[in-house]
Amino acid sequence: MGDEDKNIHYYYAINEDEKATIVISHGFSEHFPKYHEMFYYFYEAGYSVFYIEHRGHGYSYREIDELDKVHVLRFQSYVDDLKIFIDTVVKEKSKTKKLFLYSHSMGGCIASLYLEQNPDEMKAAVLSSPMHQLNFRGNSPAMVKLLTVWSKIAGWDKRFLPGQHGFDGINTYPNCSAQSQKRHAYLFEEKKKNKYYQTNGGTYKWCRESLKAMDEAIKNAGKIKTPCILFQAGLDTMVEPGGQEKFLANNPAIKKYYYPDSKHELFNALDADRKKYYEEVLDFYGSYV
Amino acid sequence: MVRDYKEKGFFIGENDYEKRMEAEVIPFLSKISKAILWGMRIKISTITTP
Repeated sequence: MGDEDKNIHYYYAINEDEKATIVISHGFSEHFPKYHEMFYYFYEAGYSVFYIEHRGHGYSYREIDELDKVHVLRFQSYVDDLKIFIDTVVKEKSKTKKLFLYSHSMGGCIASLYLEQNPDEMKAAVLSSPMHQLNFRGNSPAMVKLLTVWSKIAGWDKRFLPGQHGFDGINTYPNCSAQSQKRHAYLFEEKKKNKYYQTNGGTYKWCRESLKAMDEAIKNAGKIKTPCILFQAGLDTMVEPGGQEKFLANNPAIKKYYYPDSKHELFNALDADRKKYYEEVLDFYGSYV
Repeated sequence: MVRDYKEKGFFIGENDYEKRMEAEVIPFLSKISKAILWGMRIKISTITTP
């Protein structure tokens, strides 16, 4: 986006009794079926719902030929796409023009930057397990930094990061970010059926861009004026809580909700936590309707 | 119509996940429009089931 022939796909449902409009910003390598259930809940609760398929995901424009790689030349492009989407599509179609943002993981980093750069656009925002610091599975930040610098010199931009790979059709439950086995099974089957949903691993370039973006998001957290809450999962293995804590320290107005027994995908947690999570999200939005 | 999410049974539990996905969520997907934001210009817009 920003270029004439680069398209972004999106999904939306307008609620005739719209209380407000929720825009969903999804996470790294995710596909639309992961949000089917959430989309349904938000709609049934009285909201119009919009979902942008970030570039490099699903049917949206890709900056690399391989469908299984997450690759981006500039992380800011995700933010620019979101802004254009909100300005030209969401604002036009929303009946109430009351806009709320929901974001998960990488989508949370995109949302953080969007809120920092556009402090007056949203009435409320949810950052769920936002990607403010990646979990490098025991590798030191210095080692990761060295590797990313080397990857630039070596021209490895489009290579998979160590430990990342294409979709291999192997069901990873329970070693994944969902605790609900049935939800994971549904998402896995949807992924198997559609090659556009098989985006699976990140490239070095994506990583370098993400590292810069996360630093930026943390540094400028204080610029967020939108009422905002952040959900943190105690068993998260995708993102480190340290980045979220630094982000929160830079903006004390953002309230944290902590789920000690849940994994990264709080919307795919076990029954009790999942229900509590959705109720807290909807209670929060409801207080700004 | 707006439903009260505080009502018992609004959220889908693990035990009846498949049944309610089949009965509620999958049919709901036909209400969702799929469209394309084409570069800086809107839009090839069609209504389809995702």
